Amino acid sequence: MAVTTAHAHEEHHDDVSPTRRLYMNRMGLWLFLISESFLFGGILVSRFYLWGATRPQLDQALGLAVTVILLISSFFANRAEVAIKYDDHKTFFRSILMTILLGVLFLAGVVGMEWRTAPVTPMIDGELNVYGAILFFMTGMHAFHVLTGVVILAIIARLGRRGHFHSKNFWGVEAAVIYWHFVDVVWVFFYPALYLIGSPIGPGH
Amino acid sequence: MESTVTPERREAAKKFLYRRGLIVLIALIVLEVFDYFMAQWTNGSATILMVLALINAALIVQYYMHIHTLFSMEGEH
Repeated sequence: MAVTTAHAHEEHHDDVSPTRRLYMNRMGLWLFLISESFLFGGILVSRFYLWGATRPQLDQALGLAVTVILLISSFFANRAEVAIKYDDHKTFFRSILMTILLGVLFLAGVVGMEWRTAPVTPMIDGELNVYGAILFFMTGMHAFHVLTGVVILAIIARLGRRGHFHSKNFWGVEAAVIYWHFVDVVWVFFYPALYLIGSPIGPGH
Repeated sequence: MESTVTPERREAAKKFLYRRGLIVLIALIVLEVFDYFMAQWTNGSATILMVLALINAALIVQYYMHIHTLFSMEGEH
């Protein structure tokens, strides 16, 4: 009985046309991204509530540099997606590798440099410091998503090298790339919220 | 891909999409640098900087994330 039901379900699944399935996949991914945007939106609201019109004195050059790096990585991700849809495997592979490399550079900039040089800490004398807590939570949560994106793109690159993707089967690449762009969109809001909005506070906060 | 599309047209469409991606990147970087200078001139105005961030996000969502494909049944962007 269970086998029959599973077989019937499989047959029903096969009834869905490839175009319809692609549409359903896209809708599912966007619903996931909307749910993620509630998380990041909540974090952004916390920043405005707790910091108001102030911000810690962060390294402005580093902030702008990591933002530009992430934007360039999005360009290469888009290039990889276009390339696979047109069976340009060489460009696809190069572009996906560049995206991964730039993603790792972004992580090195935020986690490796910004965290070490930030003038605030999450705790001061055993008490929570809102400047440090919000800074590390925002950058940490975003960095975790960038890291996830890098891992997904690495899997896509490996599958692509084995010839898994082409102009008739590109959903895996499209999904990974859209996720990567979403991470970029989040940073587009986080960058001004962390580095630009409000007056800088002095050290010791 | 439709089989009726000639290789030349496919190549031209691919080049157009590559070029569009580059133009969007340039626009994004210009806006981000403008963001930086606006922050200095406006003493970090939240309204102005968030509006600029919204424009940046709209460009990414429209041209890189192809949100329009959600409202059509196309296999291509």
